[in-house]
This record gives sequence, structure tokens and C-alpha cells, in this order.
Amino acid sequence: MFRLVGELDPNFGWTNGRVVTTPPDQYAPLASEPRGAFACVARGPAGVQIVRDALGINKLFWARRTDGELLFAARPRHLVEAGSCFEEIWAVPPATAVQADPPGRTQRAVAPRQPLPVAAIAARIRSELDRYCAALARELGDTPVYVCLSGGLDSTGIAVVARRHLPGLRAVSFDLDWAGSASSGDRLTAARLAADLGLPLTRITLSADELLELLDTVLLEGIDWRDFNVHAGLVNAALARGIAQLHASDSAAPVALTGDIANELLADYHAEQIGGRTFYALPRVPLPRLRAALVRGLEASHREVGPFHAWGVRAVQPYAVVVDHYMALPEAFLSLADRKPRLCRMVFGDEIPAYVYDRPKTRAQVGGREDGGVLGLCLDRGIDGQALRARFAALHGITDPALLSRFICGGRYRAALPALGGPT
Amino acid sequence: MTNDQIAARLEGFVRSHFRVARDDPAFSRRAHLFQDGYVDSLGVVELLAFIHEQFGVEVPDEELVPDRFETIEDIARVVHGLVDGEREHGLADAPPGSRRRGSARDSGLDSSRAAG
Repeated sequence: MFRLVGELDPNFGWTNGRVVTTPPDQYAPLASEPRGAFACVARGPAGVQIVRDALGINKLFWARRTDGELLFAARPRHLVEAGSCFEEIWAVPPATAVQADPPGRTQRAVAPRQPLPVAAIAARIRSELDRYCAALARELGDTPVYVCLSGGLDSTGIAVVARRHLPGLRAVSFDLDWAGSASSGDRLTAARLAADLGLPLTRITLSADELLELLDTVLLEGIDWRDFNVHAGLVNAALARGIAQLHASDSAAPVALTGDIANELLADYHAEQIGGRTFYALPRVPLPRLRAALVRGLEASHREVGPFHAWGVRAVQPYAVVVDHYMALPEAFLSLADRKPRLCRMVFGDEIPAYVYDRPKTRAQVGGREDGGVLGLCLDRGIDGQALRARFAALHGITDPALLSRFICGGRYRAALPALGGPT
Repeated sequence: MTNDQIAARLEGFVRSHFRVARDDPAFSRRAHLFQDGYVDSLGVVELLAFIHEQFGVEVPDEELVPDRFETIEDIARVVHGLVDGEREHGLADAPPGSRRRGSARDSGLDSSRAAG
């Protein structure tokens, strides 16, 4: 009835207080729609099971061949290599949980939201992060686990929770050695933080050329051409490559915890100014709508899991399991300029050092550098938005890059569920 | 409100908000807004916000596919259907947050939406 092409992403779902790491090609008994990162296509007792997590963190695409065979893959590239035309590739919609035999029966559950005071929501966030990290620790055993430290609040929050549950936790930090520049603000803060938290720090520093060698992999594995996501993907690819080199002979794939997603959950982004030009512009809409768009848009990029997976490192984004709590924050709280540090104080308190709270907000792609970090480097080498779009198209055998606007539309991959009938 | 009235408001918004030249010969209500570069990925969010503000409906994900949401005519058709749906359910005057969001996916595995 269907065939999987290539390897699917590892699962780190979260449902009913349980980490679900069922391989993506095996049936997973799920009590409710999973949070975290989860996707699977498998034959189950009630028919074909197709699941994709609420945010669409793990990717799942499909295409039907001319002979009727239904193909599933985690990367469009795999479907193209299997003979599918890019224009015929669809994503399985996020928040899908179906079992069908015959097609048409569906089981779907969505957790209800309750209005709560912010302090109560913060307590729930903390409690669930603790439970998730504790469950991860039980699941992972002696597997090497790193936390990616940028020196910002989000990754520091993950570090302070994770270190309570994962005694062997290590930290890793990225920096760019470009034109003899000094260590970035991110690196300096990460080093200080790692020392204060008692975490051994692995410093991964790439030259400009070394970093740009990773670009094609990031475009393919990140399934995105948009500059802000590609630049973030480059940072992740550098971290992944560095971690992988340290564990080349290990039997278990190392794990990297990241602070990604928290910015979307609080709409905590701003545009960047480089050389008098504006990059990473945001839609001009009211904040609650902006947040909804940013969260919704998490589906249409694989900037974290994808690049890490390319080097055999399993990326885990703990904030993905607390999305419901963040989405329950009242609009009045969202409108506060200091909502991020305010919420972090409630969730993590003084476990996060004061100098992290006091640090100006920076993006990992820029790293607190005056030269613009990865963003500045790409611009300096002429790799702008158009170049990224053209390269993504070329890598997927698309002759007209304009067609890409049909692949990601409204912040989501073009999505539908396939009919499950057909040849068996 | 008729389909044409909705299309007129959408056209006015797209022309002014995305700075479409008055004498652009390629632009019309049948122009491919996204593929031809009139509206980018950020602009989609702004367009959806405009639709919500002007017509009081949220466009469900299922409608945000290229074959249904590409031209001003397409979008007007989608919005018209959503507005009509709201009226049929007697919720036209309810606050936007309380309104029903049409979702084909909620009804289960819908093989009619499949492209395969």
C-alpha cells in the first residue's frame, strides 16, 4: 500500500507524561496526539497509522508515483530521488493522528486549554519540562547528551532544567572564525555560563569556508530556503558536525538539547539591521496574530532536527512539549515588552544567572557580533535570499524557483492526507 | 456581501499594502499572488490578518493550498464561503475568538482532498 523512502527522523514525542521514541516505521499506541517531535507511518492493528506531532516538528512528506504506489519520506529530496516530481510532493498536515482501514476512520484528540494565571502557567511549564527531562534521562541512559548554549535565556533555561536530571550533561557552543574576529558575545557568555553551571563545554569554531561548505546539507535537510532559517540551520549543522566528530565510534547516536521554539511561543523576535538594510523582517500584524503565525510556521522548516540528523545527532527541543501552556498565556501578558525575562524568572528563577537576564536579546545566527555573524558572512559572500532560493530549487531539480511559493504557503508546507486505497 | 465585493476589498488591500504599481499589466484578480511575487511569506500573514479584520473569519489551513488560495478570485471565493458558513451557523455577530473554524481535517481522513 505504501513505501518509506530514506530514513525518517528519530521520535521524541511526549504524551501522557511519557516520552515516545517508537521508531517512525513502527506502530505506536498513542493515547493522545503527541507533543514534542513525532511522526510515523506504520501498519497497526486498526489499519495504517499516520501521525505527525502538533507543531509539525518532525517532517513527513508523501507523493504518489504514476504506477499508484504511495511513497512517504522525511525529506522531499528522497522522494525526488525516488522518481517523484517536486510539484507532486505534499506534507502530511501537522496535528495528524489517523488510523484508517478502510480509509475514513479517524482517531484524533486535542488537549483542552484552560484559562489560568501566568504564575500557574509558569509552574506548569517548569513541571512539565522537569518531567520531560527526567523521562529523557531514563530513556537515554548513558547516551552522551549536549545542551546547545548560546548564552540566551531559552537555551540557559533548558540547561538549568536538564542538568538536574542528566548528570553527564555537557554543553556545546558555536562560534564563527571570520576575518580574525574575536570571540562572539554568545561564546563568551556560554563559556561563563557553562563554568557557573558546572557543565564541561565543547567549543566548536568554524572558519567562514568551513561553515559555508555545510550550506547544501542545510538546504536539503532543513527543507527551507528562507534566510533566517537557513542561517540558524548553519549554526546547528556546525554544532552537529562538531558533536558527531567527538562520537564517531559510539554505538548510540548523541543527543543535542536546544532552546529552539521558545522565541516563537512568545513572539520574541525582531528584525536585524546589517549595513543599513533590514533582514529577518516580521509581518506587520498584532502581537497575538504574529505569535500564532510564528508558531504555525514552525511546521515549514527543519532548521533544527534536519541538520543535526544529517550528522547522526538526535536534536531534542524540550519547549515543544510545553507549547499548550505557552499558548494559554493571556494576550495582555504577550503585550509586555519584558515578557520573556518575566516568564523565565517565574519558570527558572535565579537558577539562571543575573548576567543572562541582563544580556540584550541576540539571535544565534548573529551571535551578538557587530559583523552580523552568519548572516553577515552570507551577505558578504553574495549568498542572499534569492541565491538561497535558487540553490534550494537546483538541489531539488526544480527549474523554476517561483514554484517554491506553492510549496511553502502561509508559513506551511503544502499539505494534504493521501488516500490510502490503491495497490497493495 | 457578494463575491465581487469581497474581491474588490482584497484587491484594494493587495494593491496598497504590497505596493503593486497602478500600471502593472500583469496584475489582475487572476494574477498568481505568491508564485509571481506580489505577496511573500510575510505578506500571507498580513493578508490573513486583513481578512480576519475585514470579514471576521479565519481561513483554515486546509484552504491555504495553492490550488485554492492563489489568486484574488480564489481567495474571495474562500472568504465568501467562510462568511456564508458563519451566517448559516448563526455566529455572524459573535466575537471572532468564539467563531467556528471550518476544518475538513477535524472531520477525519478526507480522501477527497488527496492529490494522489
